[in-house]
Amino acid sequence: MSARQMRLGAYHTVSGHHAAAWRVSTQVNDTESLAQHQAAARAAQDGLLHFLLATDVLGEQGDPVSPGFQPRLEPAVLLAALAASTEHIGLVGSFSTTFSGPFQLARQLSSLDHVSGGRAGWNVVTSFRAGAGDGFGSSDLPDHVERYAKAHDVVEAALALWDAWEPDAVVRDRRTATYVDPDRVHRTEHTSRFHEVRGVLPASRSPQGRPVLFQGGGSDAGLALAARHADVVLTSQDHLPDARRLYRDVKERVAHEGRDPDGVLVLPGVITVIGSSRSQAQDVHDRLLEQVDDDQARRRLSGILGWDTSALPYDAPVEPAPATTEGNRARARLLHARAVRDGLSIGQLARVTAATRGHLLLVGTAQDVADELLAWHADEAADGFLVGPAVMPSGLRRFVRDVVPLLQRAGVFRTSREGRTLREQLALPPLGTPRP
Amino acid sequence: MSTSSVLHVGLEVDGAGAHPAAWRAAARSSSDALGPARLRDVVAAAENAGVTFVTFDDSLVPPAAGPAGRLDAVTRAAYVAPLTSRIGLVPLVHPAVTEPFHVASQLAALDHASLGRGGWFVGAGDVPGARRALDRPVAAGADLLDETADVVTVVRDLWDSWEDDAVVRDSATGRYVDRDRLHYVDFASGGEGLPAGPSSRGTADGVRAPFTVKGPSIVPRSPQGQLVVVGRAGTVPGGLLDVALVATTDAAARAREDGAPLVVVDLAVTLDAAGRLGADRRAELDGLAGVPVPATWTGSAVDLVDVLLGLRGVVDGVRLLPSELDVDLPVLVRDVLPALRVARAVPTPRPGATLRDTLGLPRPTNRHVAAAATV
Repeated sequence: MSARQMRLGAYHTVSGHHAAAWRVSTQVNDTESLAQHQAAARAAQDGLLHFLLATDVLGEQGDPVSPGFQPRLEPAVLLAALAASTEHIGLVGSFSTTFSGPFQLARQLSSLDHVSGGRAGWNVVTSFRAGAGDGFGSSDLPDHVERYAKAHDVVEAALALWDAWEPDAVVRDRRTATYVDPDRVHRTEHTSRFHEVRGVLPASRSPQGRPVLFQGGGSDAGLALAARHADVVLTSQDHLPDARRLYRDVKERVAHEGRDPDGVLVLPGVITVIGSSRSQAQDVHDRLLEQVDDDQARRRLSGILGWDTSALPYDAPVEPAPATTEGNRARARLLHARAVRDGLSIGQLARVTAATRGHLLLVGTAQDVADELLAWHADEAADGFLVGPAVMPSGLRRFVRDVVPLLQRAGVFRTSREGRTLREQLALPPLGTPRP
Repeated sequence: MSTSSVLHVGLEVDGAGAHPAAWRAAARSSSDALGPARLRDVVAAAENAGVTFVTFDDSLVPPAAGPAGRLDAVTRAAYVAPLTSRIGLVPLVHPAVTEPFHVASQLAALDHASLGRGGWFVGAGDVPGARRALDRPVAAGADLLDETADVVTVVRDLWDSWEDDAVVRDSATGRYVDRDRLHYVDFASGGEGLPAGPSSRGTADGVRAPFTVKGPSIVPRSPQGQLVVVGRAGTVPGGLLDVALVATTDAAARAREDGAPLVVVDLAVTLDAAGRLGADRRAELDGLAGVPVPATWTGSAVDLVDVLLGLRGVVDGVRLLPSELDVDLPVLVRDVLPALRVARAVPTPRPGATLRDTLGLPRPTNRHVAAAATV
């Protein structure tokens, strides 16, 4: 057990991460059905995975009227329902700082931590897709710098609200009618140009004190936010040397902020297609790629790259200079680098993007997948992975049944649970005492 | 008149009970006051007893008179959704302090997660602490009534913004959703001035901030189509409600005239329990509270059964607010609800039935489909 331990999360979907998964799969993939979500969560829990991540469509696929949109259950409600359906697995949700104020976000996350017995996580995301503002009466989305300035502000206000309740603030003294010791509850006074938050959350300190903070933006502004506040950094990396560089970069930034680099985990996303043989896995992958709708894939790529690629023929080469985009900066750079490295045409890049959205794609046997994960982990490119099976639910079952035992045999993945809360299970450093 | 001889029983399950001093007498240890075990036990007991729906009260700041406070009501309802199969789950969400788009998508998700047992208890009245906590103007008085009507309207619009069969999963063409079956709501609320946000800091207290919602929703139309909307009579136009809550039976006729399909009366109760008279328990709780507490009905289970039987034909249901859940709920479960069932006075919610089914309310046809059918 002395080897550096790998942490694993399930990149939660019902139908799979591949854009064409639902077209190929004959399995049930009804995204509105809680039973499907419960089955996926329990499968991940049975495999001893540390957490599942439920994303919202806001800022991800944005507009329901756009082609390729797949609905999901709203994550706060989904995760609360999954809290009742699972016992151990961490429940992490993507919640955007662009449209919600800190008080309501802090309150729902604290509530989730209470009902889950300390298993809540918050993936801090900002919204960039056109269309993401349509529900909220804001047609103009803030630009990249402004979005992250606001994200910093929301996170800091939320932290202040969570820390305001000391662990022993609830004294519940019946004789003196004192439920809460007022000296141990601190009114938050947060003032900025984005938010003024003055008040106290109506619920006492949650089991973890605060949810585990995840951050997924790989841009400079995103990494700065991660370095200061995140417990877990989710990244998109598909090339080992680049992944090693980013890993080192994150750890250095964390140290620069005066935090322990070992206390912040870097988890790249990985899309898996696992077969009983390499050729069988490749067949499945080929079938998936054939089913990618080229128009939809091209629109998605254009959105990520930040310029319209629709006029270019399938075989057109990718131009060497990447555009600066308002939205997905890190991902645009990554995809561009991949196209140049692998000599992909614009049409091929669009299909690959639809398949992986920039994450590492592993197609092969369970041993192939395990070997690659072990190599990245040993090479200090990752503390673990966010695993998104291309096709669900079979992909997750397969990962748990066939890959997890290989990781355990290698001595880097747990064979039993230690700790109760998500923070404890991830072996993150305990929170400092809030306010001396 | 939609009165019938059936009486629906609802139950408020917030905290330790409806009396502000309930926590002081509660038998539970403080550590699980906000934990899930208590919530699970209370809702399970209510479901087993045949209660039609539970409500989850909520507030943004700790209640003035008392205890610890509370978890977000929608989170609590979502948590118990997979643990139950017959009972309606009706969280309070206040329209003045929540983004309508969030309200619509979270409640629609609750309806999906509970397979059609979701409701919305529309919050009313002032929201103490909201302006400071949320950094936005919070409407009051006539402005609040107007804003409430707008928010309920747009949430209902959003629930209909997906037709029932909008998810087509057409593998052949790659269309997951048929966009022709999605509809923009394009709603602009009343109110003047700046939308809520840092720029509205100069806006006076009590004045509403206007909002717009384009839509469509991001959640497909839910099992009930429209969740059951519950609101206090006089705070939401009756035509926007499914269930009007009234404080006394005198207000029932007026609520019906206002257009509410069902009328439910609130009844706070302190029952004879554990060898003590309800009136004595009540007096002791009042003494502990330190703040004025509105009167409650006190008496025995047998007398309460008589009162409830007498409400048949007057109202469609009663929402019970027990002073102390730990003490009053066991009496309701053991003595009151069984007697009502023996008298065939209450419905028996069936597993798999939606809350609308149990309440006898039809599933509304999507307005866009209904409109197309009349062309």
